[in-house]
Amino acid sequence: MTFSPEVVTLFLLDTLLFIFATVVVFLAYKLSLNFDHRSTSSRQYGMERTTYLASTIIQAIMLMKLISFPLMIYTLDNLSISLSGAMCAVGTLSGSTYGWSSLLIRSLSLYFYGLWLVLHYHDIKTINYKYSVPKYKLYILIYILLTVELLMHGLFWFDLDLNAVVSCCGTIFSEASSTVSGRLLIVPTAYILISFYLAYLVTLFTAAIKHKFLSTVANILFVLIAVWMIVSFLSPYVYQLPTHQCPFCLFQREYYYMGYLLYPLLLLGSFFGIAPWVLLVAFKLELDTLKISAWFNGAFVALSIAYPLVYFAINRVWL
Amino acid sequence: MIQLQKVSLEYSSSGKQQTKVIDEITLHIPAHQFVLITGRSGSGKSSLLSTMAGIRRPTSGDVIVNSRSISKLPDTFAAEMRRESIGFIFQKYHLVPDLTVLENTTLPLLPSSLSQREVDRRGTEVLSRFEMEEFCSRSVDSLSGGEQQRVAIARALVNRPKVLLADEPTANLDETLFDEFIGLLRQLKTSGITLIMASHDPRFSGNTLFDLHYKMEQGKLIKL
Amino acid sequence: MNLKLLNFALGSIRRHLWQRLLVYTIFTTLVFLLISIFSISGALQAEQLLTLDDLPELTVQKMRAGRQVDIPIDRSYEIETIPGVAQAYPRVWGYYSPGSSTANLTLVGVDFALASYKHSFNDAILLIRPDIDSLGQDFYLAGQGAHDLLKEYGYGELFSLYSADGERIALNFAGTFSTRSSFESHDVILTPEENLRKLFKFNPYLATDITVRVPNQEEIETVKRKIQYLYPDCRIISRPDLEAAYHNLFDYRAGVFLALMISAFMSFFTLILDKGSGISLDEQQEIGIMKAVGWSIHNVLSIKLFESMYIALFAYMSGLTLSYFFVFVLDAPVLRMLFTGASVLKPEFQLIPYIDLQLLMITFLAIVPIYVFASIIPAWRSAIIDADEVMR
Repeated sequence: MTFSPEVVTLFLLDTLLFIFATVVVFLAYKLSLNFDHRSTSSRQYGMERTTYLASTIIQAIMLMKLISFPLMIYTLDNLSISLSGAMCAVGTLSGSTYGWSSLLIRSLSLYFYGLWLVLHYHDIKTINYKYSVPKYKLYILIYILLTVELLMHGLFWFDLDLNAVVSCCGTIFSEASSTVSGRLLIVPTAYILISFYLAYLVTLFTAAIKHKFLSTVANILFVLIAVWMIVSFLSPYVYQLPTHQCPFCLFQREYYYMGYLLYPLLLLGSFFGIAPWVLLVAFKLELDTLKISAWFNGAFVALSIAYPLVYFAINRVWL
Repeated sequence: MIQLQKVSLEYSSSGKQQTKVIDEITLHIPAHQFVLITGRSGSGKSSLLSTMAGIRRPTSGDVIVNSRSISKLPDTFAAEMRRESIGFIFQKYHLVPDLTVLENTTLPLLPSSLSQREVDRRGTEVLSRFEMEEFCSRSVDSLSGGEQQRVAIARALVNRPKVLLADEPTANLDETLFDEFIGLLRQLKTSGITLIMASHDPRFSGNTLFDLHYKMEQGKLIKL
Repeated sequence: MNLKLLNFALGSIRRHLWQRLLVYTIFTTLVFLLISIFSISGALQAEQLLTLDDLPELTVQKMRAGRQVDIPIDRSYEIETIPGVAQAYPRVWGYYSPGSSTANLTLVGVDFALASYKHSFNDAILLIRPDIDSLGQDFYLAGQGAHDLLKEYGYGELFSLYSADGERIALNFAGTFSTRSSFESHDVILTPEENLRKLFKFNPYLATDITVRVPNQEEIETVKRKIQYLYPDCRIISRPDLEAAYHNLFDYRAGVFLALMISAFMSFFTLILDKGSGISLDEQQEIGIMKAVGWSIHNVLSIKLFESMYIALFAYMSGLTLSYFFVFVLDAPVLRMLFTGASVLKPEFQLIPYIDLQLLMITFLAIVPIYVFASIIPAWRSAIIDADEVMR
């Protein structure tokens, strides 16, 4: 457990957000049960006013979560100085049993926030409150995620032992390691690369034919393969070291904070590719963002190609 | 243009009784008409006007403006409708004291998508119709009663509404100003606007400007 | 983003200036306090870390029964044979209290002919006494704090030290020195090693500890392990360990302080909520009119939130500027005592100007979200005001 001010702040922020989220979930529950836009009773009138309060708070919560995410990455990175053996965020995450799961759930939540925000945006533009009740039901689901997030965050913090000796990303993400990540790296880089470009082409294709379901599947696969690709193929080119295969050191200053650009591109691209089908099936909302998805994914792919190419251009050899 | 369908307005006063201010009024006012509603003070004329403008929500019934029901619309849409179609002149003017004349006049236009420049232009344009242009940057506190009224009217007209609602607009006017006001009404008549005015000012009786005349009594409207 | 509304919100603040002023002032004060505390802490930490730069990469101490004991000098020869080691330098040093005072001076034995293990000492020494070689053996150099203390005890030009068995060693004052960081040199006295050996009755084959220079940072851990293997009875402190320890210490202090300040923020929060619940009649009227002429709940809500945003921004910037001025121009009177405590020898140090992105980020996240959330409810209350109720 550490009292580093960054950690204290982030945790207290999460707690604050959770408190408000709880207040809102009660409102959301009442709204999802009783909201009837055709009624003209004063109760309905009151609920319509309450929706403004609920949505504003929810949006504020999501905004804070979105802002604090990169800051959290930055903190994890900085904390690694205090841990022997750690050189980047990977070390900090490994210093606690709940590190990786905590990160995973936060990343997953981002997709749900996006869904809610898109739903809300359409709700306020629709005259018959069509998406209001589904929106608040979605929020209740998000609240469950928030609860788990806070729990994980707390557990991570309390369990973090700064005196523990942790492995550096070099060991965790190496082919010699017996961890999951290690085993994934055994697959020859060529295969990974081919899968990556293939996956991208598939997402492009699904966007072109505007098939929402296929796009969702394709983008999910694309994200997974992309991360795999970053670890095994792209990282060495960024760090210019064939054995350095860490997905987190990308966030450090030496590498121009590239991670803060790369991952958001992937996130946005995959979100806009996954969302349309989900929104259609779950909320009957038509959303056409496949093209936007293609652009973001494309930017991501371009960046991931750029590094190796530049390296080759300078050094005349591949890693 | 404006329709009221079985509109009722009730409220419970500090006692436990429900007072029916408007009692199931059904009314249809076609476009371009000038309507006068008379009645004793306290008969509910102001409430009726407020309800027509969408400022008050009726307890039951429907208010339809331009074929759209504004009493059932979500707030954002209702407000937009009000901004675009309705202008209201309040009995007490209700100008914002700390704002300038121009700012007060253009208040209804701020939420719109017009640029600030266009907003100001429209404001000065309508103020010049009432010869108030020089007062643009003056605070409204420094204006006389008549000048304030002109600003109130300008504000009601700045968004080029199709319907103008006026609640006792002549209550504080002397003879000169009253005649000015009648002149203004004539101007407006030629522009094709629909006007609904509530007033118990006896100077209006027999006036040929008005196409329809109603009297409000005990929550009901009686056509005269 | 409706620019006109943004503008209007700004005007609205101006129009209701006095009500907003209270919030703004408290907000600014909180930001000021928080950033000042963190800046001082950060500046101090930076100073401490400066001293680290000069330290040797490894320090080897012999232990017995959990306590440090003197270490044989010839171990340093063996250590020097380890690949990666540039130099192993045995040192003799210790603490000494002049007279019956409670003040501790650090006496460091130096071989003035050789390069010292601390570059900063070398530079400092050469600066004051380039003629150091001609001084003989019986002299000493003192850091500023040490010198002042000795003067208090009447040890101006001559410093008499007494060993455990009463033997007197007299040293002549050769000058004061200061290094880049005042922490390093403040209470330190440098004197030829022989004097200390006499004073502390050191066995000629022993030293206090051995410092090891490992030029390649990557090899520190490896060398450390090798030395540990060679001498299992030793404790080896590496510089990265010290860095981590320093970080932890400062983090701990700062973090605890932060946790305490949160209670201040919570009060701030309740104040906003409380204050916000009562909207002045003027404002109510204003909003009623706005609603009556066609503003929606969303519009009014936007205005109120924009107002809060502006206030937060202004207050944060004000707090930040004031804090920077207070800490780095005025040198943080009063507040700095939180950190330096009431130690007998207080270094009079100048805080090094220090701007840390992380600091800005933390202070921002610690205060602004609370304010944002606290202002949502009053903003909403304003927005749902019924036009009609207000204007009757």
